[in-house]
Amino acid sequence: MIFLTIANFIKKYWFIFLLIIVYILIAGLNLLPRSLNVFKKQRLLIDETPIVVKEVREIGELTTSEFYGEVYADLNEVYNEMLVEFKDSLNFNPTALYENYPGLERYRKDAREFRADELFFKNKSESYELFLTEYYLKLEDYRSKELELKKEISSSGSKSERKKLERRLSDLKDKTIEEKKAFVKRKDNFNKDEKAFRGKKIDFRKERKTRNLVYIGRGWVKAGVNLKGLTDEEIFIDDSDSLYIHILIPEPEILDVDINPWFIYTEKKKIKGFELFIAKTGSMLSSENFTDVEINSVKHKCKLRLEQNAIEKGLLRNAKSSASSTLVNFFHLLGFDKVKINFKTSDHQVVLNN
Amino acid sequence: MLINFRKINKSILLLFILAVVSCNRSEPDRAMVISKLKNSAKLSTVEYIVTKVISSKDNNWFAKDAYFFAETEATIKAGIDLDKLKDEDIKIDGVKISLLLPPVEILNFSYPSEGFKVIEKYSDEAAIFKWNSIDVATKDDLYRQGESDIRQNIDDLGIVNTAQKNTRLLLTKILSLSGFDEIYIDFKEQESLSTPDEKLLKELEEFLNKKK
Repeated sequence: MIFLTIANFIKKYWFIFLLIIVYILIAGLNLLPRSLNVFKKQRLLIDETPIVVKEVREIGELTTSEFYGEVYADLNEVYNEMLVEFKDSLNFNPTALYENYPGLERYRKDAREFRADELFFKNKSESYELFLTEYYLKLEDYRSKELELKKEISSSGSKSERKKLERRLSDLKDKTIEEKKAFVKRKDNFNKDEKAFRGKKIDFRKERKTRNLVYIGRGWVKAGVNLKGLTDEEIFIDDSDSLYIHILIPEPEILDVDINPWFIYTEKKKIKGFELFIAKTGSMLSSENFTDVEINSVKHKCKLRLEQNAIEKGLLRNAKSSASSTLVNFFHLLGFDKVKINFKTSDHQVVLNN
Repeated sequence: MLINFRKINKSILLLFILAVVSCNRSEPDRAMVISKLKNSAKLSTVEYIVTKVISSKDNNWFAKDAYFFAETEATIKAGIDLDKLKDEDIKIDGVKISLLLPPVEILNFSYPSEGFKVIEKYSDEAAIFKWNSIDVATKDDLYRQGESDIRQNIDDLGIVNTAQKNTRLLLTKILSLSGFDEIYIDFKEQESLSTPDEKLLKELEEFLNKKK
């Protein structure tokens, strides 16, 4: 009886049962996106692993200037730089590089073709410009000759001479028309070439959008001086004045350049350090995913750019003046009246080493 | 057997709603960072290098399971903020000096991507399609979870004691070079270890409010 009811029920709503079975199958085969798969956790979580202290180092760094900023970088920029940096290995043994950077081969091929087109077009446009200047010069020349002839015609006395001159004028006009025709033809050709090149440029750029990884990075660069290993040669009191202290410190250097997974991590608010902006592989298959080397290379590029920004903003200069004022304040607090801060230049280090 | 189209429509609609609801993700916090240069006076005296394995497993019923396994390394610097050292914290009596230093703080936290080593033999992205593989976005999320874990456990690493010890050593050396013979160094009461994040967030919020 019960079986019959169940069978009837299934018979009546068979389509819903079929849907459920199909869903379970495709979910179980891991073909569904995570958010549509009700059997999976919505977010992949890390296992609980211990934090191991690997090393504890004694340091003495005085950070005197900090720079905070936001940068971005993309994979195609990385590829572009690689073409120059690894020119030799790309020529002789590119396989290892292509393995780590799967998009590099395509980029290299496209870039090479595009560069060739670019060069070809550059030559063409240069020769066209030369042609234009020549053409306008010629045109001016014709015009002045025409005026001259017209003047001569009006002032000439004899009929035969006038006829001669008029023939010359009409020859000149024919020549001008021919030149103009040639010019129009050349211009059309050039316009066609320009259009074709523009198309190739757009194609090259479009192609770059099919596989690209773009990161926004937020982080900091810190600079300061290293105070570890100060000796009595570098910090001493003036012989004649016990309230006058001399301090010799190294030139400021960059101590930290960081873009972390989290830029700000507080209970109240969290802001991502590295934020994925675009991750397009141009394929649905996971085998085309970005490799870890590719991901890290874009992140590294972000860091380099951040460091460059900081230096351009005057981080090291600021670190130097700030180091002076910090140390002057500190030694004033210790009761010294006069504090003289000197920075070790490379010359000084040479003297010390000798 | 007739197919009931009304029912099919209903179930398709249901699936669609399910898809819309599950795809509705919160907006990320964007454009909070301003390019900014500022002075500071932070003395780092200890550097901790810690490692953490980031591992995760994605189970599937009929398909291969996906694994991710990476060794990561973080560098934590701690010390004191010299800007917080005030006149009243220093007592000098001839060649005798006593200092009451501000509490130890985390001065820099670095979890660089250069230190993430994905161990290929234990990792397998497994899935055929990219939308359910352990892709770049998922990996980033895993690293963020790793950082959260390290940051939450910073207090247990014993950084405060080491930083206090090292700061004492460094300052004793500088003070003795400056002519003091009797040096006493103490620290103000240590609450929890503070990080630069709170201050940074405050500054950012102040800046944004001003802009508004």
